[in-house]
This record gives sequence, structure tokens and C-alpha cells, in this order.
Amino acid sequence: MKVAAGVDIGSLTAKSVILGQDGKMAAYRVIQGKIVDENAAKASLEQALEEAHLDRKAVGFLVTTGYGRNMVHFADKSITEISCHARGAECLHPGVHTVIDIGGQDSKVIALDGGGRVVNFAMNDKCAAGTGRFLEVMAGALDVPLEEMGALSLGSDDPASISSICTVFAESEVISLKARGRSKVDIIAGIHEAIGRRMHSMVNQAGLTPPVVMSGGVAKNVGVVSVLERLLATPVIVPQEPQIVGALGAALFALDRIGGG
Amino acid sequence: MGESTVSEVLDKFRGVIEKPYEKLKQWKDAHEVKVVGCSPMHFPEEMIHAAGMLPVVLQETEEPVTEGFSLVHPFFCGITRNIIDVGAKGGLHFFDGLIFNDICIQSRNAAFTLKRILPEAFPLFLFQFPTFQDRETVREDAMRELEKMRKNIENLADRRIDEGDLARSIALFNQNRDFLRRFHDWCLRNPRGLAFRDRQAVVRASMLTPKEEHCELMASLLKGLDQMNPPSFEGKGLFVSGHLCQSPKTAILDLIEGTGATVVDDDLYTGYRYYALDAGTEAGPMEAITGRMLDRSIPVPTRSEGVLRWGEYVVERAKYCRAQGVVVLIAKYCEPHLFQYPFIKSALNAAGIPHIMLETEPEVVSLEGMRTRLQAFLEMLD
Repeated sequence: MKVAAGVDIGSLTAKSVILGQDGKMAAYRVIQGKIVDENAAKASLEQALEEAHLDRKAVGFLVTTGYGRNMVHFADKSITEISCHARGAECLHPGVHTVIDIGGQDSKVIALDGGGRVVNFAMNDKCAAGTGRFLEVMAGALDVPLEEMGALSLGSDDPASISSICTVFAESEVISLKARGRSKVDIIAGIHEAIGRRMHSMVNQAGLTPPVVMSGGVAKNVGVVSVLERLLATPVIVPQEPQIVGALGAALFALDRIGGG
Repeated sequence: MGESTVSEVLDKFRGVIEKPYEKLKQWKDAHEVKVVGCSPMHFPEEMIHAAGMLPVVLQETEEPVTEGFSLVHPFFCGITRNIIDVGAKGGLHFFDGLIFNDICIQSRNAAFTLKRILPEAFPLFLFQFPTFQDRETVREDAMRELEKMRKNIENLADRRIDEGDLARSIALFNQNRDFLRRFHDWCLRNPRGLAFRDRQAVVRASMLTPKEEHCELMASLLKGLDQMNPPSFEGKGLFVSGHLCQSPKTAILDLIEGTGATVVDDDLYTGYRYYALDAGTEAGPMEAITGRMLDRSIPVPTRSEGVLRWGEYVVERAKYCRAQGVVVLIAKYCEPHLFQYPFIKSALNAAGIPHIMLETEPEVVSLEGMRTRLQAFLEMLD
């Protein structure tokens, strides 16, 4: 029996999903890396296969997606992260109309027609402000673990005002706010507001129709999710494992090819 | 045999557009003929040719803007930045004259900037063709401005342009446009026949080469193309619209076709727009030139008042060439295009034609992001 595999090679992580021919998820894996390349993609896939007690020969079709999708020479096909995140989100939450994905260095909003078909999308195309990398830099400037930023921000009553235009300039602003005695909690809340504003304008470009699903690593940040819900005036659904939505979509496209599902 | 002829001619064209100003200087030294540069779009080059000089359309080079950077406003588009930069570096000194079209604030300011930094280099003229074409007096206004330019050109050439000279030049330019339209028709029938970048090279070479030479080469090219057996067209066809004045960077032309789609037709200035219309020969030559400039069968956003129906035009062209989608390429800071884009978008939406807008930077950035967006757009067409 063959399985379908999807690998999402992002700028900060490599994610793999293995689906059985019945469409059930056999395993998934997310690996962090300083350099995300073909080796990282391979490692992620092998670890997922190991967890599913399978070897490489079991893979009937492999689809790659993400920023590094074309660097994986052992893939059968590459499909953009727009299509894959849409497909993955639709699988997890049928009837989703809007997908917001904030990854390591890109952010996107995808509008679907309710049947899983992409009808429009908007992506950041000039800089990585408001993405995972932006948050990493800010966490570093504040000396706060990245995974604690979300919860901390919820304690703020007065978010600081921070530019949403440039990661480097925003870092300077954060340092300057610290020097002026603003609390870390308010600064972090301000950072999340900046991300929220940026995504809000992107959502306006692509069009907002609930229900909204959020994917990507930044979806684990409860502070960003809270800001988005307020600005969009609608609940934002976060899957249990938001980082694998793209890889899941890729695996579903692979499943189509092996006649499964 | 067809392929080798085609390959030879394309090599010549590619050579012409690579480092165009250096090649033009070499040409001028070898031929001792005055060279006059015209800024895009649509200055009647026939008038310059009729005066015995070589007209060329100023092109954007691949060099990054450096010295000229301090001379440009942030809102200058790629080609105006580039022309100013090349001028600042001394790359335009061989020209005997420059004519700028007053079609937008960037073009006008480019003229003023060059005049300021190169006051002694060459005569520089600003051609002010009437923008508001719905007025009753537009024909006489246009003729008057064209007559002014004719006198400037005569002074540059130090000779009169008589009606016979002008009529012969118009006939030659019409012939060149006819060759280019026949080439266009071949590409329409054989979308996989030549890469988009090569089709652009054919047109751009016409803007930089004596028309006599270009016509000869086009005759060989068309003969060679007729002998070729190009691959049949499968997959997704795209209509590429926009990019006034300047050719999209080669990296972007390659990127569009590198996604697996095929460009089946376009309305770029360095494409169909350049050769679509002839100067009619029924009336006198100045009337013919005026008539061609006033012809609005191809919507021209730099000579219009209000809404243009450019969107409806793109819809018709996309349907005619059976494109599955439209790529609207907008050069950053191009106000005439940006003003029209919402109407183009509405028209494409109303017609149910999938489309994507890509804004191109003065210098190429973030090709990967553009590639992802284009690929995602093509996946939406599945």
C-alpha cells in the first residue's frame, strides 16, 4: 500500500505529513533549522515516515510546497503554498472562506469559494515585516522567549505604537521604547497590533468572508490571534497544529495522484 | 534551414538591444549620420527619418541606477530614472538631439533634469501633444505642435523636410509595422514558436535600428519562421497587458514563461502597441502623422481624458487570443497606468476573465515572490 506525502519547506521550518491511501493522517513532523534546504526537507520526511513505521519506498507520490519547494529534487511535483494552505485548511475546516497564513518570512491571505477553490489571494511582496521573522527579531530585542510573547501581550491595557512597515526600523523603535521605560508587555502588545494591522489590510485586499482559519507558526501566538479577531470582528479558528496545514494540503494533492481519499 | 535563419536574425536583434547606447554610438561613428533619441511613447519618428537622421526610442538599460540617483525624485519610474542615470554617466552624449514626450510628470521632469545637468550636450525638446482628445480643436492643436517639432527637427538636421521626404518615410515605417504585424500574427498562430523575450527583442530592435535594415531582417525572419515547425501549443495561455513606455525586464519575461504558461498575446508598448497602427496615406503626410497620433483604436492612457475603455479592450484581445488569464504588468510609479487599473480590473471581473496584477520595480526585486504569485494564479486556472 502506498502513502501520499507532502513536505512544506519554509524559511524557518520543514514540515512533513504522511497520509494513508484512506486519507487518514499516518504521521507528521515539524523540524526547526537555521538553514532550511533539501536536507532539512529530507530529514523531516524521513522522521515522519519513521514515526509511521514506513520507508521511502512506501511513498507513492510526493508534493512539495513552501518557499523552498523547488529545491527538493526528489519531489514528484511542487505546488505553491497558496493552493496547499487552502486545501489543507479546507480539509481541517470544511467550508472555510478565508485563510490567513503567517509563516517565517511570508504572510498571505487566501479567499476560497466555500468549496475549497482559491478565488483570490494577497501576499506580502516587498518585505517580511509582520512575519515570524519579525517576531523573532522583536523577541530578541526584548529578551523574551518567542513562545511567551503571545500570553504576555494579553496583559497589556495600553499597547505601544509600533511601525508595521519594516522589521529593522521596528526593532529600533522597540529598543527606543524600552529605553523610555515602556513595559515589555505594552511593547509586545504593540508589536502584535502592528502585525494585526498589516494583516487586516491584506485581508481587505483579498476579501474577508467568514469562517476564517489561521495557519502557520504565528497562529500559535494567542496575542496575534486575539488582535486579528478584534480587527476582523470575527472568530479566527486555529487548527490544533497550524504549522502543518501547508504540508497537509500538499499531501492531499499527492493523495489525488495515487487515487486515494 | 528556417531555424538557422531565425536564429541568426534573433542573434542580431538580441545584440542590438544589449547595451543599446554603446551600439548606437558605434553605429553613428561608422555611418556619420545624426542620431536623435525619442522618449516613449509614439513620437512620430518618421519626421526625424525624413530629415535624414536616425530616430531611436530611448530604452531602459540593465545597469543599476547609481550616479543619477541623487537627481531623481522617489516617484520616478524605472525608465526615467535610467535615462537620467545614463545621461549623468555620459552615456547619452553621442546623441545629436533628444525629444521628450510630455505624457506624464516623470517624462516631463526627466527632460528638465537632463536639460539642467547636460545644458551643452545636445538640443532637447519637449513635445506637447494635446492630452484632451475630445475637444473640437484637437486636430488643429495637434498639427500645430507637430509643425513646431518639424521646425525643431529641420534645425537639428540643418535641412528642410519636404512633403516627398515625409511621405517616403511614412511608407517605410508603415512597411516596418506591416512586417511586425505579420510577425505578430505568426506568433499568435504559434504561441510556443518563440520565447516572449525574443518577441520583445524583435520589436525593441526596430526601435533602435534603421528601419531599412530592420525591414530587411524582418523579411528574412518571416521567411525562416514560415519554414519552421514549432511545437504545438498546449497548456495555459496568458495575455500580458500594460507596461507602458518600457520593456519589462528580461528576468520577468522569462519568469512568466518559466512557470509553464505561454504568453499568447500582449498590448505592451514594446509589443503590439508599437506597430498596431499605420499612418494613413490618403491625406497629406502631416495629416497622416496627426491622424495616427489621434487614433484611439488602441486605448492610450497617456493621451486621454477620464476613463478609457482600456479594460474592455483587454477583454476583447484576451478573448480573441483565447487566453485563459491576463497578467497586468504595471511599472511602479506609472501614474497613467495606475489611474486606469481599477477600471481594467472591473472590466476583467465583469467578463469573468481571471487576472493578476504584478507591479514591477525600477530594479528587479523579489523574483521568488513574483514567481509564487504567478504560479498560484496559474493553479487557480486549473
